[in-house]
Amino acid sequence: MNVPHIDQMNAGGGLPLLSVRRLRVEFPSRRGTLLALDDVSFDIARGEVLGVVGESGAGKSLTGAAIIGLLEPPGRIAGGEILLDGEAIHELSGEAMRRLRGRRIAMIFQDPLTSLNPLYTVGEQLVETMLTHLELTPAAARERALALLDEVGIPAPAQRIDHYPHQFSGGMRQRVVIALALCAEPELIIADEPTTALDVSVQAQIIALLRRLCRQHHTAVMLVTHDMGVIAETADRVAVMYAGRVVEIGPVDEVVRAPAHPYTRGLMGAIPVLGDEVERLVQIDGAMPRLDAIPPGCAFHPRCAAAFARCRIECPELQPAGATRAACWLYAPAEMAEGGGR
Amino acid sequence: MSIIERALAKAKQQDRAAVEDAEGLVHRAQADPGADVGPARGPGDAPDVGEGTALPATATATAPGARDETPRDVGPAGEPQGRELAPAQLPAPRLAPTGAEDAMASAPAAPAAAAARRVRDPGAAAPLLRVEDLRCAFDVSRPWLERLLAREPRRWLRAVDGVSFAIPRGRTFALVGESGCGKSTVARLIVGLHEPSAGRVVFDGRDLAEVRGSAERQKLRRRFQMIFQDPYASLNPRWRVERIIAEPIRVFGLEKDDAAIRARVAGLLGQVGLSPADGAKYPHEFSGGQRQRICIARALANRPEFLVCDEPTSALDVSVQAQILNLMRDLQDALGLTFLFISHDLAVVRHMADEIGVMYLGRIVEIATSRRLFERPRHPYTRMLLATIPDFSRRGRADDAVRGEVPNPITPPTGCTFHPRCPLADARCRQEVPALRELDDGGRVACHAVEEGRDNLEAGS
Repeated sequence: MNVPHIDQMNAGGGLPLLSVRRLRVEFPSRRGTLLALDDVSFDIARGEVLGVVGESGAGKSLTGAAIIGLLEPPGRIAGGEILLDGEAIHELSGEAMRRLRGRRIAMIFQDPLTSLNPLYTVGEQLVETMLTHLELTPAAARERALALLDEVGIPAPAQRIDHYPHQFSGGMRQRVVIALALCAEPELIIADEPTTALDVSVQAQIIALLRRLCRQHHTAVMLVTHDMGVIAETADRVAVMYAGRVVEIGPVDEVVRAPAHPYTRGLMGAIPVLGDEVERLVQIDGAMPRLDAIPPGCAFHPRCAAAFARCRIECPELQPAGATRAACWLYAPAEMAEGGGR
Repeated sequence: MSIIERALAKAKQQDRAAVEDAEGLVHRAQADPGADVGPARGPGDAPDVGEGTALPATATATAPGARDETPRDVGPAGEPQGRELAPAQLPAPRLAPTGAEDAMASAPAAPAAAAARRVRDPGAAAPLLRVEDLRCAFDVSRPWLERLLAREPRRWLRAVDGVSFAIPRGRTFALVGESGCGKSTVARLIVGLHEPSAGRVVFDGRDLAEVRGSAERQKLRRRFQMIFQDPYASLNPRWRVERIIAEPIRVFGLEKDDAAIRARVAGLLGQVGLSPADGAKYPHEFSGGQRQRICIARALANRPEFLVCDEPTSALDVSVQAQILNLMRDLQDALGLTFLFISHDLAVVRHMADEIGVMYLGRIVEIATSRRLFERPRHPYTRMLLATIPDFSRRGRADDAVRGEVPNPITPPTGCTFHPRCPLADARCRQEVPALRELDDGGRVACHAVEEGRDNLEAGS
């Protein structure tokens, strides 16, 4: 077996903080095994924000869940590896994983209300997390909690620290969740649709906050979202997922401005843009296939205007395509003559 | 005001909630028109309103005034003339009420109409729908006994607080705003799922509240429909698609025999890009985008002229959203439909609407044509909303462009409700509610700063 692709375009040099190699996740079911993630590979460097974008069912949230060890049974990692700082974390025991979660990898979920315990004040939740992971006295932890609440922009933190989650508004709750994620100084934060449940004006603030804090704390972020706009404003690099595979990965400016994969191109064209008035949006006909009916070859070929014979038979690997890398036969070196003419 | 009366009012409210919970809710509401926009603005409700702490006297005072005035401008462009006028101004042949199947079949291909669509002069067409000083207050008081023990007054949430706008025939008017601004309540007031506390909804020259008799009301109701946000919740999972789409046809008695109904359902399915064979399936067999197509087919089944679309694409993925938005515009061009489009997504609104109303805490703060609003937003809230739109070419905007959150609508700020978040707020803004004033470019803005000319923020941004 050849050496898996390593993404060479990470921001920092040296060993990447997180390296996902040929990750496969499957769900055994009565009617056979469903392959939910197929050969997903990417790296995240220290302090880098990687956006993972795709439509519902593309497997983006599942990738996050697999990394942090929260796959819902019967889902299981069937192949590949997840390396955190060179150490394989996909084989860790439940207990070792629990120590890692919150300490080295933190998670921010979509709905801030369900990720906070309604029966404890936000201060108690922050302090508990810190005492679990850090060697601090309760007094020092509380002091740090206050500083964190102040840092995430909660007004009057000295009073608010003793309030319960329901006493906060949606945006403020998400700020508390960010404080909670940051409180053990993790190296990586997995943010799964952190702004989807929020209003647009609050979303803008939360995005700005997340970006500023991660830069200051030098925390790497895996930002999972369906919103290309959020990615464009926040991420350094972006991975586009479709039907359980990464179809394109590269620096965000390149992917947004000059997408290589036909799916990414369609996705960008489908977003109404303010600047120019268009009569019709680009539309990709059809819908993403269900897991039990993924077509052979490239999973996108039934919806792809540029598909040719090879797409229907062989599944493409990520290959260099301009400044990004795309899993598309149009960019296969040997097929340039055939594919390039289209 | 007796306890019994309140209990009755509450029971009525619960009935309505039950109707809404059930799927296919517009049709059900239409099947039983007496249940919703009832003549319930009776004496029993009026004292309730007066008793409330929040609802000002003007709410009840302005309504009669408006009532005196409007019939006069409605008069000439009333029912018969209005209907005659419109087709002449529309490039696309509007579907006759006794519609022809061939017109339906040719729906998706109307490029000429599409080209002409943007050229139309905004002021030309007579309004199909006019909303005047619409108000809706919800009782959010604690239960009666608790309130009595705590000596608390009743509390009202003014979800819609004096909203007025008009939609010309064949156009799209959009309401945009953040959650809790009352945009969905306006939609529900228009289709009759809630009852306005005050104000009027005038459809094609007729005040909906004054239409008496179920036959009359049903006739009017046939002409408008609603599309909801969640295509999963608005289709009955136990009904086949053909039965779902046929329901409005049966309710309104539009076709006599089953064969005709079946043919019409097949035509509708084709019109929204599904195959006639899909009629035999159940909703769970479809993806989200396909379900929204079914909802659109159902909404078109009684050949309405006016569609209220409440966040029709918010639950959908981007590529599917594009399909649905394209479909809606094709249908509008082909059938001459008028849309009230409600969304929180400014880019989608920009793409769809001719005119836009920006709402904040139950009021419209700015109304302008789509182009003007995005090129030259006037109200500070509109500017803030525009600043939140992710720009693919610009990265790293200033952190302070957007600040604050929508306040609790039960206890809104005094004066201009936007003043705590507004960079231009001064003492007057904190005390005086600004009225919607017309600008020289035809737009309307409710802002003291714009009126006084101290809104020169643009130079900086």
